[in-house]
Amino acid sequence: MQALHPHTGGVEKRRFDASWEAMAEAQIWLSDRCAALGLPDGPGNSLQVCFEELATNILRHGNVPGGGTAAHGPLWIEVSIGTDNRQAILTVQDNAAGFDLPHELAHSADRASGSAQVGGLGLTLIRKLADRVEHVQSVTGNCTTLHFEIGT
Amino acid sequence: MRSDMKLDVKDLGSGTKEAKLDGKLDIHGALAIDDAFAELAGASKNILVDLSGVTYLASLGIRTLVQAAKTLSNNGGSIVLFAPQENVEKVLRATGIDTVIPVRHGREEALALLSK
Repeated sequence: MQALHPHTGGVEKRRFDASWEAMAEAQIWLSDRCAALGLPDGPGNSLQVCFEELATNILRHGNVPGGGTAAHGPLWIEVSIGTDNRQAILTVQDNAAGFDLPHELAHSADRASGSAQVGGLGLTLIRKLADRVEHVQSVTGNCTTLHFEIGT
Repeated sequence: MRSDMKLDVKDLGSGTKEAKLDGKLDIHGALAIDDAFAELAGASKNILVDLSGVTYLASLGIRTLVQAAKTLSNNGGSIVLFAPQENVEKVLRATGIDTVIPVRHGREEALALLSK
């Protein structure tokens, strides 16, 4: 296994259009960054899964109801990844309509399990795979930061 | 849309198919096999899914599997997954999907479930 990148705290950031094609490209970019940072398979995979869930959520629900646009111009998603103090940190920022992620996470607990219902799976995965979730909702969009412990 | 996701199907007889998935079931991968997998579910009684070659799974890929399970169930059949890699099994357990779609480590064990 590759050693963790020695320059902890460094952050790489990139902005993508909000489309399935661009999100698929973002996934590849993120996968490459995880490898470059030397993240172990476990937290690296969890981070990529959580990104897919956030991106899917933004694409499906990010536009203003009844309109084709985000809160402020065309919808975009900015992704950043870094490591700090034995954690991998993923930040996903968007200009989508406000989304109360902590509320949704708190109510996702029993939605998917045992019911074969697909809705809510993504939130369940974020709740179970990320070690810490921070979310800031504002009039200009959302910013979600997820922490994944790397271990020793 | 480019994807390295592969789906190979083997006919085991009596309407049972074995589907081997290889690659990342990420956004590219799920979109690449979604139609083919739905078609396979519509044309089968049971499906045994070999996940040993799947290196990544998230909710879009799970959606493909769950939709197939529903189609098969509506036709009186079922689906069983086997040999998931550690990361993939972690996602299946985290979502509780393993309580809806059986997941087994060995092929014979999975096949035995379909035979019941």
